[in-house]
Amino acid sequence: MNEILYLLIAASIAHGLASALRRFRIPHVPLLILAGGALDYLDIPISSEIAKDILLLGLTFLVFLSGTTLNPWRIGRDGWPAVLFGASQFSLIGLLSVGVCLAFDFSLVESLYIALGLASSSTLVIIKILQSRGELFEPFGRLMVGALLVQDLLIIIVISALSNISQGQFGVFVSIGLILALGLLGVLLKKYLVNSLLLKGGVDEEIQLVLALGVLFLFMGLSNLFNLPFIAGAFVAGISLSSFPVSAVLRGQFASLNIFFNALFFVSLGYFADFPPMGDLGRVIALSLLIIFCTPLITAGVAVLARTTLRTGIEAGLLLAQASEFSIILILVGMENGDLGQGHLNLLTSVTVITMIATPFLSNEAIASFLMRLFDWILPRFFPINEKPKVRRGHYVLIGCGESALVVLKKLLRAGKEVVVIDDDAGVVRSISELGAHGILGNGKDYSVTRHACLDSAKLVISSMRKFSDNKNLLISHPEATTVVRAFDQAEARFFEEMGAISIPATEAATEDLADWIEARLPELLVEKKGLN
Amino acid sequence: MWNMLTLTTIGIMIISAGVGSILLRGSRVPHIVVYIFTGLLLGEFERNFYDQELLKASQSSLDIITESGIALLLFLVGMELSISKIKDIGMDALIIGLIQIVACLLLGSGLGFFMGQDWTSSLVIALAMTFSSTVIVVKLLGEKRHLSALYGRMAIGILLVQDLVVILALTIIGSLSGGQAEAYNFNEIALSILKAFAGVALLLGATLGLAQVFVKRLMRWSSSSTESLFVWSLTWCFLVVAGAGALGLSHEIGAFMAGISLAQLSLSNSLKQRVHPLMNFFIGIFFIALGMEINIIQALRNWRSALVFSLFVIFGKSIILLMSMAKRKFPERSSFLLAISMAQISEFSFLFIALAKGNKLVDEQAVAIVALTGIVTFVSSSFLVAKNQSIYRFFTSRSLLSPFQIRPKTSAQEFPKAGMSGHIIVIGMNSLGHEICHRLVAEGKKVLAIDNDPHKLLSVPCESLVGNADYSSILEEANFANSLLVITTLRIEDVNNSLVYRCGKMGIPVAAHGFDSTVVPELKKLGADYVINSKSSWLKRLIKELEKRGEALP
Repeated sequence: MNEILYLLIAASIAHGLASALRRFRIPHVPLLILAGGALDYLDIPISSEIAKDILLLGLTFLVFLSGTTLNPWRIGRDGWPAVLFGASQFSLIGLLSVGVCLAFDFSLVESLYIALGLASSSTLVIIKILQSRGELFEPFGRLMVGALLVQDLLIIIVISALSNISQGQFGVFVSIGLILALGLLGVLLKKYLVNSLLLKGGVDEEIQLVLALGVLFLFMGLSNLFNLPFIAGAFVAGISLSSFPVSAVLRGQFASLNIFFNALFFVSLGYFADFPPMGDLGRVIALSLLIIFCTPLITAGVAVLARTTLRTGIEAGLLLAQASEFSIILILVGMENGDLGQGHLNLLTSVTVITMIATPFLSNEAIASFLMRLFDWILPRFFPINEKPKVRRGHYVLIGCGESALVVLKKLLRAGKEVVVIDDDAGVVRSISELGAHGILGNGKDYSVTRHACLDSAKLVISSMRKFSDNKNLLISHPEATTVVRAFDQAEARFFEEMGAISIPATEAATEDLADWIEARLPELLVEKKGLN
Repeated sequence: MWNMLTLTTIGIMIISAGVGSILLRGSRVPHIVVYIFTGLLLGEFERNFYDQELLKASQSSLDIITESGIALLLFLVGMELSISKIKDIGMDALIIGLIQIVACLLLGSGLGFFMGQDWTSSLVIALAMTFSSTVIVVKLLGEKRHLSALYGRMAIGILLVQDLVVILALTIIGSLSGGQAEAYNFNEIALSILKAFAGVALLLGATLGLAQVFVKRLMRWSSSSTESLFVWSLTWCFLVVAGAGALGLSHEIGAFMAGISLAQLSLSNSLKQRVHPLMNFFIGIFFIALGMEINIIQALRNWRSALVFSLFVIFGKSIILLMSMAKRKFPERSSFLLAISMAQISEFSFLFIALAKGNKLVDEQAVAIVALTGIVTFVSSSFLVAKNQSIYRFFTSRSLLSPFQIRPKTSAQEFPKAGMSGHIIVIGMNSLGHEICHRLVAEGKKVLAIDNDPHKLLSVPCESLVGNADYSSILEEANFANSLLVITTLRIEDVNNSLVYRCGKMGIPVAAHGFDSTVVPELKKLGADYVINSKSSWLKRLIKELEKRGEALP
């Protein structure tokens, strides 16, 4: 058991580092890989056979559990933009990477492998960041899950095709056909069998886990039968178990397996990979910069073309700007096929580590705002959207125009009021202007923006900005304005009231409504559901 | 690069166990039985039809998995039983454990000799029959959630005593060769005893000390990161297991002590929930591998002897334990439940017999007897423990226990107290959760707050529970079935959906947080009785505010 102990100690150190650096929100994955590298560097005695088995088992669970988090049915109405974001990043970064790799004297086959490896983003890292921001289940999170699903599907198809590349063009087409057939089988299983298999007949948690893992190994067996890589089966098995209520029932059990096997996989990967030689550093840096700089540009462009908000495009790009754990798998397949060597694994692992570490630093509000300002400066030259509002007194100002503020805006406009809306999203401002309100493009916390809306002479300013600091800045900049601020809780509400604002704490409002419902409806429900009087 | 043999072996094991579970669905056959029979069938299939012995080819990796499974099982038991829960039964467990070991050894050896075995074989077989299976007992009692009951704690105590004696027994058998009496070295044996006890004392001291000084602080430091906590707790478990190995103790004792040292943490509940699925996966493989190793056809040739020894283990060992418990004034019900829980041989029995055969102390026949007795008693135990309360009622209704004259019959302290009832459960102690708890408590309601971060529970004005709503065990710990309402304020769509779904199945009213308009339709579809919508509540207040200011909004 010493092997597990050594890998777990390395994983613990990586987690310790991640906790110590928690304000930087560095993902665990690159730190786990580095900790594995340290094990190798320190010459810790780990049986190579056992470490390979652990790597394989970890890889199986990693791919399977990635599949279970990507429920295609949850993407819903964001399906089309998700496909656009996912596919465009995959194809454009892939193309650019081929060019860069060829320029670095890689052969065409090597370049293709590396480029495809760099083309997709990390499901693990992005899901984790979205979770930590509480955005995973919001529209932006759904969009990202959709984009990741598209990319993961593409990479699985690519890996399957490359596995049989030695059989020529026909072999590649057959592989693609077979992986699609396997996917169809997964969909059929999900639709007709999984629910009755796992949820009916008083199956308890332990057997649910055995059956779910049975589905995993069954699909892996089928992959083997079809001469496809085993991870294709693992991914399809994951997808077939990703929908509700099966996913909900298995979620807790999968979460434990996920943490354990992810830790073991990435540490053992780090153990097997080496740092690239100094001569390769140029390649590593060039490929890392390519992903980091080009991804936001691509997604911002897609956002403009798809008429989604610009902020969405920029934030999506910043979040997607890293290499995926699947890229390493692709390189391992290349090594298995004899097309790539240890040097390629080292190169890709280094790019993955660098870009994953960079993601939380890039994917933050300051950089997003900077890029927004940059695009806001460029875009109006091509898509004119803004005029200075002519109102000066007695008007309403809405700062931030999300879902709730839009309802208020429509009501105010219907009542014939003059309304100015400040939002930092060009798409939102454009659509508001179409409704008949005055739109100002910019951030509500920024005085140089808010001064154009004449807040101090407005009848009422309504801020629905989420951030405490943004609202605080607004109140400091415009102490004379009559401002309604959306506070999160009572502590925030008290603070804003002391600053002279009218504050409505969202949690208190929601609690009051809930308490009213409990008073009015619960006794009735208890009689109805539990027969209690 | 890829050697798929281990993965293939695990895959075959899991798929076969899955098929077995489907076939036996609804029959209430315990899982262990399904796993062992799966292993037996796979083992036979492998021996007869497969050109490569899967188990042997992937032995080292599978060993790690099965050993890890046992370690995690005992780690969980340790977390279940804090020092305070076992110190009151420590002396009784030691005395009863030793009495049972000596009595079983004497009676078992006599039985073996009576069955025609020589004295050495009889003694080794009796030794194999003496110990009970920690893995089976703990797993079965854990499934019944009886590990904290008096008889559960006693069972753990006696099994730990047995674990210590096992080390001694393995040392003795290892030092013997070919049945040569001169190989007995009493100095070595005395030294082994001393080493074992010193090792336990040292490990316990070091584990508890380190946990107090270092591990607890580390855990508190990062209590908000459940992932890190989980990884650290597993590392701690395997570290103490390695420490136990270095001191010549069993992995079980090490894992148990690692668990005990974390049991005091407020996070232990959340950790238990997380370790459980991993343990289930590994331990399933352990039982299947155990079944695969037994050559059932060969073992069946000695079915008569095996049957006699099985009856001895089931009845003889139970009666010895029942009488010992009665003598120490334990209540009748707990004494009986303990006695039938321990009516099986141990996984160590296979190790003893293999070691003894390697040292030419016993022949192939003795190995077959132990193997078959193992299968019979593992299977019978699974049913006996699963139905232990009904069996107890059957015995008492026919006065079958009156000859033992056990007093008292029952005691109030035998089973832990039942949880809350008539309460409102609030899951997720974010600002909204806190606000709701304060409001409900102010209205005089009985409230239970749940969160996986103990820091967030520090300022709640009501009862609290550290746990993760991802795991269904939270339903039992929070006594969902007896609650009046479940409120989830989490901003995690999957967990909210899952809670609404589960509450719907249990007929409990549920209010869930619709933190975004996109999640509301699904919550309603799943049957949420109320959707908490902060945005819409805020909007309502805002419109009221505007109306208050004289704006009539259409």
